[in-house]
Amino acid sequence: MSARWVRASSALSRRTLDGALVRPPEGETVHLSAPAAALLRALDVPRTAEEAAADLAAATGADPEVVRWDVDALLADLARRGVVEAAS
Amino acid sequence: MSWRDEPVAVAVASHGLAEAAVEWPRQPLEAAPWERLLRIVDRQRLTGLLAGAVGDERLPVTPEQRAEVSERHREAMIGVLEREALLIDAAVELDGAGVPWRVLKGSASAHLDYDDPALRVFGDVDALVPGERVLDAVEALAAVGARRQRPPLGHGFDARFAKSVELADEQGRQIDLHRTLALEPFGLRIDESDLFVPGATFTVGGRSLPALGVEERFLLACYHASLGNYPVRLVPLRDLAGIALGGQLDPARTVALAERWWARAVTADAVGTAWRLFGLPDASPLAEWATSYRPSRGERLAMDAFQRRDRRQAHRTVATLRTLPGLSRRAAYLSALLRPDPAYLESRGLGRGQWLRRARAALPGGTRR
Repeated sequence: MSARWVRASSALSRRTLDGALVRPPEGETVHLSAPAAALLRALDVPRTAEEAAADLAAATGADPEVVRWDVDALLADLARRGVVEAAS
Repeated sequence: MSWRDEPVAVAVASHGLAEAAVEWPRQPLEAAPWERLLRIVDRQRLTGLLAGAVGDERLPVTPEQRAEVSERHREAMIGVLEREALLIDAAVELDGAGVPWRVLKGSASAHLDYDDPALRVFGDVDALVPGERVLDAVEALAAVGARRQRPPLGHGFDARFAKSVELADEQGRQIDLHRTLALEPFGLRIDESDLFVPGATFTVGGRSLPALGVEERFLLACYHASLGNYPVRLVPLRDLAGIALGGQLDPARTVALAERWWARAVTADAVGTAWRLFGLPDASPLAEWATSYRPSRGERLAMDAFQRRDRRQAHRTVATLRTLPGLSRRAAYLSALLRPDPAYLESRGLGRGQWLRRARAALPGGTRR
């Protein structure tokens, strides 16, 4: 079964004109592009990478395969920064 | 350059107030007025509202102007997130020390009184604690590296008469620890127990934080607008208009609380200014009340201490001595001011003689040499 991801509740964030800023409890504030910010918003509720990618592909009309590849890379990066975490 | 000379700055400040009747430009501003607007926006901390107005296409901009706003907003929000991180650290320490407290202004306004917290920029952390716990709070906040910037004026002054104690850490991040919501004489008329009734809460970084209730937040914005700076600043006016039009405020409770706190003149003044500035509809109970309110002589005297170009502590002292009820309280206030602690005087670079001469000049009939 695929892992479910959720936005880390301890990360601070703000919307910007072209994405979002996120400040994890440890580490530096990072700026997320609009698609990455959309992914993070989608993870207010725990989701698998497949579910998140399907939602984003539906919202943007992009190729689901390409979105899935991007989501995997983004999730890995956001998890490393402490912005998302595995849902319990 | 004042915002009074730049109507687009007022339009930007009104962003998000559906009822506001302000004029927006139809085309992107030329270079010179654009630079002027940016200077005012910076000075007035309106970057969030400017970004909101650009993002919602209320304010037409060129691609270059949009990129500039985006960059400035991003920088402002990085600062805001830093302050919220400090707020959370402060919350851990205050809660750990068992000090009752409330978040004031900045972060509380952003999360509770704006549609999107990214619209509200703030420059420090403001927390309210009971007078008798101010020193406990100062001690607790040393754990986050915050140190008071000036010694107290005298023993017990912070707990009884001061509006706030300023703390800062080594990076210059500020925490203002408030005992009450306004400077004297107004702040001395607020019943402290009213401030610690159950209020609102909001969540930052997964932590629930305590704030004032909506009517108390509204009155705080009125104090800030009417007494905080001369000339008046736009953000507190936008704060109070947003709360007033947000659908949660109970006008009857607001006026009753203002009466209890001797804040009716302040409230009427702030509401009148905001309504005129943003062209808000007159047909609202609060606006109607504000229009009809006639301040007493004492209220006018106290307001005058703030709404003047040469405002000084001396004006507030005189107003306090003339309007504070209770002879013993007035005597205690005067006695505290006349006998400052040597460490306080040293921090101000003043000798006792200089201090007393200033105090004498402040008294009715006194002269300033």
